[in-house]
Amino acid sequence: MTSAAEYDATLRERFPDLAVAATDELDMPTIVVPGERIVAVLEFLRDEFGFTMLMDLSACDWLGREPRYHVNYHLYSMDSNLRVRVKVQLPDVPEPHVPSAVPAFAAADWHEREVFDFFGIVFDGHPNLARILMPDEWIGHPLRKDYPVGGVPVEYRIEPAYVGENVVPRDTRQGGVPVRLRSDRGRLSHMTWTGPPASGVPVHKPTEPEEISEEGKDS
Amino acid sequence: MGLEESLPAIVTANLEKLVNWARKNSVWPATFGLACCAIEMMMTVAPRHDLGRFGMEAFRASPRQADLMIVAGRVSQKMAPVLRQIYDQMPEPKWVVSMGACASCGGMFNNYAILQGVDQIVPVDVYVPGCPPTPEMLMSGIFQLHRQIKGESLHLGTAR
Amino acid sequence: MTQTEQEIREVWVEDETMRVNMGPQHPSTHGVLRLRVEVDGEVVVNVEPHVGYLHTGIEKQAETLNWIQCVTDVTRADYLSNFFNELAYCTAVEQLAGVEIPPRAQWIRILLCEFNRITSHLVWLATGGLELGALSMATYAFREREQILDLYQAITGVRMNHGYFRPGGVSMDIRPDHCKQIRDLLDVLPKRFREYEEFLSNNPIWVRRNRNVGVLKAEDAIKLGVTGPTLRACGIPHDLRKVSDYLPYDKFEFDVPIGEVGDCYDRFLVRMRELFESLRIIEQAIDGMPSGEFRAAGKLVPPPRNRLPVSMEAVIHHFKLYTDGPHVPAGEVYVAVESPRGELGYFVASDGRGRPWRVHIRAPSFVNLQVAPLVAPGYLLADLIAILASIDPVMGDVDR
Repeated sequence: MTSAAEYDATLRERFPDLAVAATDELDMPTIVVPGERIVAVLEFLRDEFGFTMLMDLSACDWLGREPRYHVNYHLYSMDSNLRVRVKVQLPDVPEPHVPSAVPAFAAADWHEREVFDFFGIVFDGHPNLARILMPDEWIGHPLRKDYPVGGVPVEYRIEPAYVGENVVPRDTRQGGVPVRLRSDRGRLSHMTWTGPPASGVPVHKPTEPEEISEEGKDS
Repeated sequence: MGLEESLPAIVTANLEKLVNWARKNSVWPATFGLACCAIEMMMTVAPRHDLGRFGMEAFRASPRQADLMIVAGRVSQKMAPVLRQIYDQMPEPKWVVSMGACASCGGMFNNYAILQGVDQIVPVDVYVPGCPPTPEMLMSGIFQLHRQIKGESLHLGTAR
Repeated sequence: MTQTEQEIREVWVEDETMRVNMGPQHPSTHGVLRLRVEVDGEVVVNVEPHVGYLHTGIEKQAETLNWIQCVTDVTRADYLSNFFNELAYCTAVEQLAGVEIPPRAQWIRILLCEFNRITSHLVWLATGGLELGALSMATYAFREREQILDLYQAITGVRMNHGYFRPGGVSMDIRPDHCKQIRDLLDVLPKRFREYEEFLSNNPIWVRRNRNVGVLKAEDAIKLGVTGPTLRACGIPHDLRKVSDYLPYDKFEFDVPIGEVGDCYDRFLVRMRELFESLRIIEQAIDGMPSGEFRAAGKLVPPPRNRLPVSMEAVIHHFKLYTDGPHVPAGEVYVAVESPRGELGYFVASDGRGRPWRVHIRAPSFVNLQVAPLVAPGYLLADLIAILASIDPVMGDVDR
């Protein structure tokens, strides 16, 4: 199984009522499935094609496009040295839900906790969905695009001397006004999101099962 | 410590010198290596830049037995209360060396996760810049600390 | 004893396990790792790692820096294997941009990565020995590491956190006197590594403390996504250098050491042998180093400095690159490299602009640390130290 079309065909055969879309991306085939059936798809890939290792489970926030969250499952098959990415797309709601992949892969445990910690995506059925890297009482999900980077504004001045409340610069080249040589205020100010993605990762619109025509009928 | 108040000044001055000499020649650091700077701190104890020459190779695991806390590395929000607790557990006299850019001012990580300078929670005596500072730079900072210790006066209280 | 005393003994004394908190400030937890250990006497019943004490927000920070500046950010994730972070990130960016780096750059990358494997394993050896009581191991291993750090300083300019690999190649070329330095190292290092092997492998205390301690079964390792020496010690010969093409390792001859049982001793042996294999690769790299450019030409890479006074296009290119950042075409890739701890994966997503949209680090230590609650129960508290040392987690990698 090396091309997306073959994954597409086999998955449609096994899960006839599932809206699946598989494409060949730059590095590995990507299969987009709806969140509710993710565990069954993962188990199918694990048992049928030998993708025994879940290498990575991570999320990406495409704020400005709908669906907003992509949860990526990177699977690896040691016997055939193949990789595949399974992707679940979640809408822009305060608390997106997706079933936990822990029944299929025990490795998903900490990864899902991390995704919950940073994106607020709730994995239903996870044995212990608690924050893992942020302090337990932290509010907010830092890797979301509408969460600010944080930090403090940084300014560099030319040697001011403080006289009371007034700032009196010693260097008068700029005519008595304290000069900000460099301010991070523009750059870190304090959002990483400056607008929706310019062009981008295509949002997969899985074709509904009734719509497939010739794919997979021959051979 | 009431005896020194009634001694003549010449005795107190020499006593001060003796105490400071003893303190600076066997500063025992607490193991507080956090990140990359911790590796350079380990290399400072390693054979080439041997910190044992200055009596400092005995890194004490227990803060109760340590004099110096070298904050080596980036201090995250979760770690900050722990750092303060370790600092509080150290008995006087104690010093803090803030090693590296992250400990001194947050370094390149000006974000939600990192404390922007460890001096926000503990008083720092010497700041050593670098990312990470080479062992020579750390030793230079430690010598600066030794000079500071040498110049200390025998405080009868704790205000510093 | 009376009936109540009997009851008390049964219920309160003998049934209860004690919860001990190890860390985050602890001399033997390999960094700021907090373990809540439940012990019954001296025997570990359960281990709960609490991580996050070194969380730095590297992934979030990466979204604020442009594609070239990001190298300096990600290199500090796993601070013991800086070059691997840079390698995975740069390979991901090059795949997104469709850039092929010249052979000399690839071989320089292999050379430095294998040296980095050696320095990382030396720190593991030093701290592992230190934690288990072989204190002089730290002294010896750091002696060698200093010499290799000298080499790094000569080639890249800094001892750690280099920022040397860039998207498109490497930032500076290596010179003939670096090659001489490497050959001098190659004369000295094999002897020293053999010394360390003799020092520890047959040492009765070392063997007693590591043999049959922390046995990890192969199928458990696969289920947990464990990779690297921890997996190879269970008998599974999986090494990304042999099966992936992120760098031309197929032109090099080297073996992949594997263990049998998956205990701490096997993990120790696997890493010791990897030191020798890395030396083999380095020797072949230095002997066969191709000549040519050390970075690709193109939009990702700044123009050579000597072109700037003479070419207007070079100036404009330089300007756009350092103000706006290189524009990497949109897409997402996942690139995995074999770091000293296992599979280090970088998931990089671009939206076509000058900054990454998302950089996710699949940290081998993060995944390998999940082994501790599985493997530690049933062993003594002191064995827990040995188990952690043999898993070799780096908290910068775990917490990012």
